Amino acid sequence: MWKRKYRSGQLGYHLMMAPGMIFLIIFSFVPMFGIVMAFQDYVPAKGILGSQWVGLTNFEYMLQIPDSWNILRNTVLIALGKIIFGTIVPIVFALLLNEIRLKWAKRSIQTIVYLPNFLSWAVVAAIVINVFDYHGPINSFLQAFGHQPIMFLASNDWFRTVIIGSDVWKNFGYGAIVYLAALTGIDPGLYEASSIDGANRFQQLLHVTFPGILPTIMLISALNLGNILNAGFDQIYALYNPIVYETGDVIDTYVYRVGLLGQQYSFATAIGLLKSVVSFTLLIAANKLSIKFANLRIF
Amino acid sequence: MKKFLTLFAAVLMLLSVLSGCKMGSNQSSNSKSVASPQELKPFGKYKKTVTYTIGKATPGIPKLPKGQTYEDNAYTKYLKDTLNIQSKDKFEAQTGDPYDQKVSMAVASGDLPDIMAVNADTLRQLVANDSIADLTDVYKSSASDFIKAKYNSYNGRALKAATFDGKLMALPSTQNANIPTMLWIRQDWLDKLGLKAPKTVDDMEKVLTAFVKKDPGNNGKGNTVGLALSKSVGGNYGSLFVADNIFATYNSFPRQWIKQNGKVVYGSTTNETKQGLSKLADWYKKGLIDPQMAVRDSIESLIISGQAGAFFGPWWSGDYPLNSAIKKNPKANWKPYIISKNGDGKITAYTQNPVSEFYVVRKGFKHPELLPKIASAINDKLVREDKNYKPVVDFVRGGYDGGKPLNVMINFNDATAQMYKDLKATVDGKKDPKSLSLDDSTSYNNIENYLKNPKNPDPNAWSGYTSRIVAGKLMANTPIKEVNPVFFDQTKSMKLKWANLVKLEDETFLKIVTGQKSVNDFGTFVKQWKSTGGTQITQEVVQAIKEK
Repeated sequence: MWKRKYRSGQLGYHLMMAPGMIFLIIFSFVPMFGIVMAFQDYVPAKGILGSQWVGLTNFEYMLQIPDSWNILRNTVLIALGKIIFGTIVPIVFALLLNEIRLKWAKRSIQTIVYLPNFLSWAVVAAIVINVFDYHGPINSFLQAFGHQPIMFLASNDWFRTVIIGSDVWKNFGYGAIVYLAALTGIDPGLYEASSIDGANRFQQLLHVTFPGILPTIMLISALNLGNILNAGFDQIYALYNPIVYETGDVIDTYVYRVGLLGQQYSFATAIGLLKSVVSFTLLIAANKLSIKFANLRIF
Repeated sequence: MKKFLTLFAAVLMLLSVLSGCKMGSNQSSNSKSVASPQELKPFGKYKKTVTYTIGKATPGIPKLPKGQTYEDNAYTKYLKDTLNIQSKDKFEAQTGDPYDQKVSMAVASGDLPDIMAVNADTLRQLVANDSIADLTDVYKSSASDFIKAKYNSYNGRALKAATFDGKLMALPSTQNANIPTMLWIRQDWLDKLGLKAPKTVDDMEKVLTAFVKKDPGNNGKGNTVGLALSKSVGGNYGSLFVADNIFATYNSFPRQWIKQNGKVVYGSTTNETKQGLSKLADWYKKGLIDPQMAVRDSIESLIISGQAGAFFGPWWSGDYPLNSAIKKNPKANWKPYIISKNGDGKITAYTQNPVSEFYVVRKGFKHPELLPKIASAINDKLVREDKNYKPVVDFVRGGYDGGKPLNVMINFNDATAQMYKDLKATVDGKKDPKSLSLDDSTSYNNIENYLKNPKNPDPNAWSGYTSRIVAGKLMANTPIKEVNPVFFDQTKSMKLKWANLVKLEDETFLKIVTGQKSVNDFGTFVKQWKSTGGTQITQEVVQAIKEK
């Protein structure tokens, strides 16, 4: 009887969780066995069991070439930039939008800015390429003020900025929705009380609104930390070229190019393993820090 | 519940492991053909339709007739009629990077089409993987004598490139001589500005400067591109948009293993290459080379739109991409010229492997003989016996492209020179037009059409005449000092290190030309190239040459 009750109560939840778990097992746990390839000279026909064992050769070579440090640096910088600006911009936008009194304006702005989120990078990249083209609108604008045109997508000074900027542009509208929802959850009584105390709009924003959504901000940032080394393969792949390998090549694009196109499966696995090790370290550190300073456990 | 979940997870894992095993094991099944002796003959027709899957490389500018598709057009119909076979496209991708990427993905996933084209690196990989069929027997039984004679005209070098441990693993497309590449230039722009055709690199600089400064094509200020140049800059034999002609005037041969002062060196690392790069960098700085070359996706469209004034390309540039350029603007009069060091028209150029790409058959495919049969049908029966087959004749005459399911091209070693001689003789009335092959007789018709109305020619007539008579003559008459690279193969260390060295090379060349790196950084590049594997690979190459 007890057993039956337990089952009928839990089965539904387990079923709901099942697709996610299956996904996780197939795409995250099973491939982990493939790490063995990093220590082999992997030949697909011979398989993992038949390929020759080469020990640390791939890792030695990884340390030998300057590319490794370069792509690691690019990955961290681009990912950090995306996390930082991808958090600040939606918050500021949500706060500003919240101050608009015209309901229809608020709604239509919100809808318009979150549209790009639904386009794939292949499409957005075409837009970005046109906008930042040598003869594109941005350069025409610069030229009107007497600047020399800039090749944004072929310039190591600008490439990361364009990548982070376009990513923020694409996603901030969607990100803002969460904060807008959090804003509606703030007790209107607090605003009334503060206005009776003589607070102006800006002071209300600073002392009522912002503290009200702080827990949401912390939660979203903590969740974003999991992506610290995912700098966005599809975006960068669609926008980069050999000139900006120096500043734009990240671990994922490198692994794709060298491993799948260059067919160096073992070497690419070794680089991929580097990514796992670094992001593992960063995550543990972030968790420790957030427990210590914010008293918030990520896991 | 817990038990159930554990069990579930266990079953899942087991399944995934099993499916992994399956992938490994089904490749080793044997690939003996199931065809009857009659069907094994080069032109033997199958009783039942045989369907085969291919990796289809489509042309950069799609040009199929209306209503035809890559799976259903004049050529597939011909193969259906003569051999009773039908192709299905496992994937379709544009020739070049997109196609190579699809192939790499197919190789990595182990899910190969029955027949596809691969490059030399991938061929080696596939042989090592044991995932393609041995074609030794089916080549003997199912390739026509004429095809065998064509391959034999290379003294065995063509098939040797596809032979591993005495087994023929692929049928190569032959690469007959494609040098010299020429400078194709807008004659109408030259005329408009009153300039003479360039003969030396310095002449060329003057012409390009005039093009960019004076905008003879009315593209608007700053929109005219002098020289259209590929991202890889140089070192791709007989291809479009590379500056090999300029490098050669400095005796530089990028991306080739050559002998210099008795020592084997990699051409990209020589001092001569540095000089060539510095010339290009100088031009880029002066705005003579496409300022957007690093991010340019389609150089063809730059030329078709009429923005570019010049590019380097082989004799067939008149067909591709210029045919489309003339269609767009009949006034765009492109003409080929030879650029030589001191203007005497004598040039230096490197030669190449007699093969360009390799056609392979998936191991386990029941009809490995299809490949030699298709190759024979397209390169022998169709161009000789069936050269009046109406659908294909219409296709070729219409100037269409991309119909053949497999682009396997097998020609005699001296095919281009022979083609020019045949056509010239026919035009001069010394040869009967009826004796020409399908391609040549199509070209002959185009040339005749052009000669009837040279003022206002049809684009196909223009292409036929420009490629085969104007450029063909330059090819036949330009004296070439040939530099023969000494090594085309791969060594042991290349497997791990070559891709990164190539990347380093591509990146450095492009950066030096576009001014993101100074020419003086060339030394740093050479040092880094050597220390990250170049020295070791050079030693292996020297060793391999000794053992040959």
